[in-house]
Amino acid sequence: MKRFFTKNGILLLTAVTIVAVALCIASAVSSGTGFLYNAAGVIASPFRSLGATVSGWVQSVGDHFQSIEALQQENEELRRENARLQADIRQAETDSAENKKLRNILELRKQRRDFALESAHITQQSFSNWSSALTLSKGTASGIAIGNCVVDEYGYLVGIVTDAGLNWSTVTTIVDPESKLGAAVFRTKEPAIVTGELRLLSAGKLRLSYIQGELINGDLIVTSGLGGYYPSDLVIGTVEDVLADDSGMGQYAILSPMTDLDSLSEVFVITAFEVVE
Amino acid sequence: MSQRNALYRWIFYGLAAGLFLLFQNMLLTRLQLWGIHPFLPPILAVMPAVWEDRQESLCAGAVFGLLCDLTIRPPIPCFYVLVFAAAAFLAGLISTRWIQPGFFCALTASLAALLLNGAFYALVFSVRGINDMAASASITGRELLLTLPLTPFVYLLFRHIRRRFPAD
Repeated sequence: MKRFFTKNGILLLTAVTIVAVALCIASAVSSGTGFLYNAAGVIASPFRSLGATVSGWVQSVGDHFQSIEALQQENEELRRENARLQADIRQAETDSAENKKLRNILELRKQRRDFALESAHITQQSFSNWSSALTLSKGTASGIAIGNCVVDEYGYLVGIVTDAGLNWSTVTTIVDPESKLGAAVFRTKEPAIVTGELRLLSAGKLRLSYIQGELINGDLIVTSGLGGYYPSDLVIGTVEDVLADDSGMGQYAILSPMTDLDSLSEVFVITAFEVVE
Repeated sequence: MSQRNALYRWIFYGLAAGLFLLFQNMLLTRLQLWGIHPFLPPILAVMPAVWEDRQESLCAGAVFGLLCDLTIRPPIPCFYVLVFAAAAFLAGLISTRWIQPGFFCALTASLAALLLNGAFYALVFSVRGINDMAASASITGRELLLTLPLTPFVYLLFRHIRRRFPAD
């Protein structure tokens, strides 16, 4: 073996380097997911699913031991929230009827939001501490494509599909340092930019920049939908803190995402959408 | 006999690395402390270099890196090929020139591999305009604190393989 490596070691290393450089070039040239990366993902997919099943089982065993007091407290909070939401619904019904009447008077088109959703299981959480990505159990065979938005069961934005293979896809979450989204403040409809940051990654927070109007803690931030790449009004998060930027002239905000990225097991990919405002 | 042993040794090194990767995927990625989870791959890439030939280890590091590049989403193509080949080379230097092969050699090589991994990430981010050295250092430091305590487990399994299939 040693002799083999002594004789062929440089040759092997050269071969590996050539493959590596070829991969680099192939990846740089192609705009989609490379063939080798796709094939490796297809091969790794069953192992990822197995891993997800086992770790899900371990987690469910752990969840059994959650204390009763914590559950009672959560139940109490949910009752209060339910009561508040019931009140909101009653108000919304009145508003909706009024809105319908006004739209009829002004002859405006009815607002519509049509999403084609594809559900998928998460088979792998972020492997690296330097990025935040999720691997899903479905890919191009199910209509998933690069650039699709991914939401959780409540419709909160999770991230964007950045790689898609035959039966797998990778979602770069909203907290990833390289994530950047057009956003809007729900209360004022003012546009802004939401970005992930390396220093906020571990805390699972986001940064809201290019703020034009006044922000208050708790403001809801949604996708702007400008440019038509992503649907509008997908909930990103809430304003946690408003701070002055380095220049002292402007301000930025720290956002807390609405989705709980650590506890996700199933997500929904928006494969097609139509929004009529 | 020696050739067959070497072949078995490398096969079992590969299987051991696969086992730890499965462990990483199934459990370690979900065990977060300070927002970080332990990251074993750099340690797995350098562990054979503690005992094996430098050239063989470098090749093994590059191949392991290639596998990681294809299965873990790297920040740039061939990121782990570069990092793990460089880390294996460094580990080979440490074991042949500076520290006698053994636990402390493995620990030092692991430390160097994790530092190299952090430095490469910081470099890639700074090239992309995300120039936050304090955040990079913080992630690297926390990753070191969480991952290094796992080195003995990796070391013991690889040492067992080495002893089970000796070179001579």
